[in-house]
Amino acid sequence: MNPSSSAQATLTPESTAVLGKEVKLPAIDRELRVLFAEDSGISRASLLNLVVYSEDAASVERDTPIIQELTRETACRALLIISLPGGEPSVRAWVQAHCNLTTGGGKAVCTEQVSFVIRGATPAYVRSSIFAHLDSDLPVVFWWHGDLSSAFEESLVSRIDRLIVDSSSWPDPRDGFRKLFAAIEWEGSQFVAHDLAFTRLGPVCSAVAVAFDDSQVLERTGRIEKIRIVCATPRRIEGLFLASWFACRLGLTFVSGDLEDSHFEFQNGEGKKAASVEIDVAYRDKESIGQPILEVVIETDDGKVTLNPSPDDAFFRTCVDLPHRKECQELLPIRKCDDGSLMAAVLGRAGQNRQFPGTVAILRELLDSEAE
Amino acid sequence: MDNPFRDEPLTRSLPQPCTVIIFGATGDLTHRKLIPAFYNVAADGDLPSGLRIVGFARRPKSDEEFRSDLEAINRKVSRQGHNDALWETFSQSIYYHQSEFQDLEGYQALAERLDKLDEERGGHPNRLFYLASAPEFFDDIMLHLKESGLCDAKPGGWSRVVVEKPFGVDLPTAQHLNNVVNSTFAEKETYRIDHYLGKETAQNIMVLRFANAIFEPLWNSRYIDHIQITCAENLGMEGGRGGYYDKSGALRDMVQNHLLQLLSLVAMEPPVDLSADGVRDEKVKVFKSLRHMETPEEVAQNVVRAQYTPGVVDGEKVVGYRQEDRVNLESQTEPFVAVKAMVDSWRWQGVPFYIRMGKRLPKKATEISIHFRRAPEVLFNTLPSRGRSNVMVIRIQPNEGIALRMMSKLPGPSIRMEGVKMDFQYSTSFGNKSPEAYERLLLDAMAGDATLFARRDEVEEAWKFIDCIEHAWHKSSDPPPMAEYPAGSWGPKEADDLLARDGRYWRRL
Repeated sequence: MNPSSSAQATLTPESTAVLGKEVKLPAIDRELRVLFAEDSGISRASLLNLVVYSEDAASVERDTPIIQELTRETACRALLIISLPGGEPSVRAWVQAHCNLTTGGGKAVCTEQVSFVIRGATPAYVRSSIFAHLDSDLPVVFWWHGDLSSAFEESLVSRIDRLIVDSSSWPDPRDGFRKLFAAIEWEGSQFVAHDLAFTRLGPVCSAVAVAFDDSQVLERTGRIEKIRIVCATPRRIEGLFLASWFACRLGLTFVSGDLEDSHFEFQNGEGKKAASVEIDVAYRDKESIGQPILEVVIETDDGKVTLNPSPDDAFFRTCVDLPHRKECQELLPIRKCDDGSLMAAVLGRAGQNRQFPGTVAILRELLDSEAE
Repeated sequence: MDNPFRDEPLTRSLPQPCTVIIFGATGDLTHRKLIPAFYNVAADGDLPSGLRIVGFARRPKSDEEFRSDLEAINRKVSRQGHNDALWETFSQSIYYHQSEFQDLEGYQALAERLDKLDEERGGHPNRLFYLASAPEFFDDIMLHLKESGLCDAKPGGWSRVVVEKPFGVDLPTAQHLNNVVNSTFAEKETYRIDHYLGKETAQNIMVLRFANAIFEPLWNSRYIDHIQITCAENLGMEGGRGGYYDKSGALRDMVQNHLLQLLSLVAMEPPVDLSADGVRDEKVKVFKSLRHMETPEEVAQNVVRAQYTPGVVDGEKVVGYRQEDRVNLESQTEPFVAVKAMVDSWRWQGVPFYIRMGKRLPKKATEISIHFRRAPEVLFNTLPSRGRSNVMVIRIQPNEGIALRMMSKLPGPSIRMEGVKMDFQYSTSFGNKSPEAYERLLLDAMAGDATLFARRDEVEEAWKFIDCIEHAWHKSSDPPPMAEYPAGSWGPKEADDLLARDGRYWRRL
């Protein structure tokens, strides 16, 4: 989600038209059967339940095309839940199918989207709308738009296998991460957490990894003295995330820092071998769409590695500047950073997202840091 | 030292920076498969930094001409389409080296050029030699790689060779090839490529068997009646391939490698681990357990060979095999073969593996079908519409996936049953994102993971089984007959009889 878009849109018949056919709640299953009974040339498929939750009416028009696009690669039952404040509690529902042709233009593979607009809702309304319409035995992937509100409660979270948030949309990331990590500790919680702000860094993290596949660069890992990260101004959290990721991967310990200046000091090693590593995050004005990271410079005692995206954000350019060796390469393509592409990357990759918890632990230290 | 920024070592070995030298760089394999595979790996962002590709071939050509030729084909065949910007960057790592395969000086010049490239563009002394040339040049290439010292790993680097099929034409030639290769490269640095093993569905056979609790208990002679492996092609000898094919035949071209590899994945015992040798040790045991056919009579009893006569395929009239371009008018080569193979192991005692491969069949399809034993002849199976057996089908290509057939009651007041199918399709569940087999295999070779490559003993054991049949056909005084089938049919009647004698029939595809 673009952090700057937070205006609460209103629902109109035109805007809900993208949701398909409006149906009465008790008739949802029957209407779904009708939807697929109409055409024998289709296959219905589902690998997982994808729940998209938002408290912003704009989600209706924004997320339906994303869901449709995601079903091209990942067949899923999608539940779009839009919870809006105010008035007597009420629930409206819509059903629709998303169909894609298989290779060679053969049979169409179809998935269903069930959308709910819940007004004046308590968490119980949200929970029951979701629980009643999950496809049984399939994992639940929950994409939570915006702040973790009161609807983010224990019994709902206990059914989630994969939770996807975007901390760049949180008004208070410190509080957001506190809630997220408290939820991980809840009894019955078993979800794997993803943050699209971190997923957005995938290309730059890959570019760093590729740069360190080079044996001459790799042997200087322990001699890194300074890392400078430049990110687009609206992407502040991504810059801090990247700083935390570096510290986590290098096994650094946070010593001190100042969130205002975005200057942080870490310690590498212990005892007499301890060395200081500085990480600075700077900001430069740039459109928030596209690559959040504009430059990374990793300085060692005798050289440096510089990474930056090409002007069209198509590739990462990696320059190695070492004694007797200076070369640049531009071979690593950058994938798109829009929400749909990021969600596709998360759904396609699955796994335990092992780097995330350690990185967030350091990120929280950075968020808490103040000048001494 | 491990790269601290990498997060995937647990599930996949990482490709290492290297220079790939392709012998036979102007051939079809390089243009249509290898370079597009490298390009697609680059598009996925998986190409190791500092990778260089050097094409080695006889025709005079500049680097630029070579790149331009490759680009033209890549535009047509690349799985991910062709991105000009990516190609521009990617192609800068491609070079061309002109030399005869028999010319030692050409190899010495190549060695100098590789060193110079390392010097100019940063040193990654790893070398991957890829034999994509015609097999008659393998001896010369190996000899000269050795004499020029190119095969020797540089300090801190490695030197590997990828060998394309055919791995010989019989056991002695395979042994000769293996000796030649292994006198230049150690076996652990030798990667014999069988692209069938790079297909997602072939890799999924082990996952299906060993990652699911419900199949393996049934995976034996107590519950399985027989297994069929079918590779059907609707093509004939288009594009001048008759010249090669007529010297080879279906048995040597497809069964000895691809189909026996599939058989080994289906029949193997669980490996002790997923290491290359852990898996290959178990596959070799299957090849060693294949019952050899010692006499022409046994071959006649268990193998059917056939040639197609004129017919209709895909709505087009086509000629018979012997009328095909570059095929001998009196050819004794088989474009169709059906084999009843027995695996003499505790698990597979008495379970036949029926293998068939044919050209000019009605459609293109490769699949493995596991035919389970019938349920006892009581209860529902005593009724007039008694049930057929359960069948699990593993579709290798096209429509990659797995289907399971079972019996179900037809709706209505009476007990009537019909076979129904549960069907999993890769494209339905995972979209259309499966990489090409060559992409996976090239990444594995650069990563040093030989699991999906054939080991020397696998190849030689497979040839021992195949040679018994070939000898009966071509060296006995009373060879089994050559059957015929009209192009566009599912093969000769004799192939149907092979199963009918056992009370079975080929699965209809």
